[in-house]
Amino acid sequence: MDAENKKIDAELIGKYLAGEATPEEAMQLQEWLADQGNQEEFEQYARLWNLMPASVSATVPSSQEVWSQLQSNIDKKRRPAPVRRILPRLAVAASIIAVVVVLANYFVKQQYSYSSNKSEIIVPRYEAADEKRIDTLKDGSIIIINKYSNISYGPEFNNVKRELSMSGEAYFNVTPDKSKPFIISLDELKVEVVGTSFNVSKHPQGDVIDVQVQTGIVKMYTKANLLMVKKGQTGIYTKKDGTLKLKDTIDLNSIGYATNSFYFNDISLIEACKYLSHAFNVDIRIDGDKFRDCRVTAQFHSKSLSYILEVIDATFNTTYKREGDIIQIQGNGCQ
Amino acid sequence: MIVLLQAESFANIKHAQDHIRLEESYKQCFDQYFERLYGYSFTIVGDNAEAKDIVQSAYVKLWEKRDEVNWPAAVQAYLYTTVYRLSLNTIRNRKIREGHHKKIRPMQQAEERNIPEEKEKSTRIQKAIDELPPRCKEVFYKSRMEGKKYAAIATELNISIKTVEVQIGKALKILRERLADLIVSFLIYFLIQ
Repeated sequence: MDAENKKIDAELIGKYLAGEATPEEAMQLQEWLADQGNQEEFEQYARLWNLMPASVSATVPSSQEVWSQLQSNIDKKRRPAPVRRILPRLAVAASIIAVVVVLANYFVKQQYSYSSNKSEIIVPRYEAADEKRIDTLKDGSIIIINKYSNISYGPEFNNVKRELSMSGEAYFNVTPDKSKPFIISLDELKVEVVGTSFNVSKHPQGDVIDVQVQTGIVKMYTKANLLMVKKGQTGIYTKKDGTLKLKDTIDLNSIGYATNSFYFNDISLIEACKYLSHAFNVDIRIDGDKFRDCRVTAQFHSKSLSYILEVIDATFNTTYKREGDIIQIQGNGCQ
Repeated sequence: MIVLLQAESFANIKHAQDHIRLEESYKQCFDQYFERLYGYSFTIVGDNAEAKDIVQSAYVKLWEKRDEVNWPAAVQAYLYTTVYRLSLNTIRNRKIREGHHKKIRPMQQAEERNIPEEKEKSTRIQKAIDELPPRCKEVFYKSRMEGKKYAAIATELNISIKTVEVQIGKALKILRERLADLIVSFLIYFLIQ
């Protein structure tokens, strides 16, 4: 019989109480104990076990006490090597968040008071900036707003509904809450979700809005049309004729600015550079003729732009030069 | 919360967010498994102070290995396996030091039972054990009173470990029926408290 399906009986309980259970058996028993009735049965055996002479019973120490000891143990171990590298970086990052939050909130407060005088319903939270930003909303949802993009919502956000409007491009990781629908307005189009992560982008040149869904389900609708977009699909809204179309793929590389992940699967180097330019808000220049035949297959997760460029240099025997936001990649190409 | 970022530092922030999440998840693992692991370790080492040290060490190791352990799917298995290994090491070291495996305080509790009621209870327990089928009684006695490991009992009686497991299980089933009132009254006693 498969070990996983082994029945929990007096034999196994005895084995456990006698200190003979393997980790797998102990876990199995714990799982079985999640049931109240089983718990009672087990406790009877445990009491029986402790009724016997010569028994020492377990006295579980206070978990808070052990937790604080544990933390000091870990702190001591943080000083030497591998653990250390990450934690100071964490501390630095945390302090950056704190400083910026104070500043940003200050400006937001001013905007609030200004707008309430004019008794507007929607308070513009952000002006379009040329940097991407991360925002955690009152409901815990996380929004990554790309450069030149805008999100606004009123002070009543999260009271009954979660309504906001946007322009440009943003990545949403929405906290599930069925009682408070999360609705994004982009002109006449509304995008409604119940806990999911997806990317909305309105193309700067044309009047097309893309909704790429990474997890969950998103509902796109106008007064006339409705479209359900599922995990791994893209919903496309064309403003001109008000149509909603469905595509069965998503372009993960186009949302690299938010996910910091790139999946280059035999794509041209020129295309890869376009994705990187978009994600890192830079202008990567590369000779279109010489590099036309260069193909890239690589994955990057949470890597800096300079790291990725170094990998490209090493692969295609190129050198990159950076001046401000302009990056020039030079080399002989792949003929 | 609004964060304005340089494009490049974004990787760090994401990294930091991942780590905050990891630390939260680590605390959750502690809350979820601490007592169970303690109980498990105690069944092997039979000593409160040692069980506590073992479980603490297992959590320290988990923190050190946090980037290698498949989180959170494999965390439970990692903790149980580590506790098991550390517990076995502890009794092995103790065996070398003291020449026997499990800490037993023979009859200490029995001596405390001077009250007539308690005396009557221990007589009943003793009688129930004595009335077990001979093989069953022998195995149970060696395990519970002499604190011997299953493997040692198997060798001594020239039977398989599986037979030891079966016999102990059988003993527990019989005793549970015969001493039902004692176990249940225990429960009521706890409820009143």
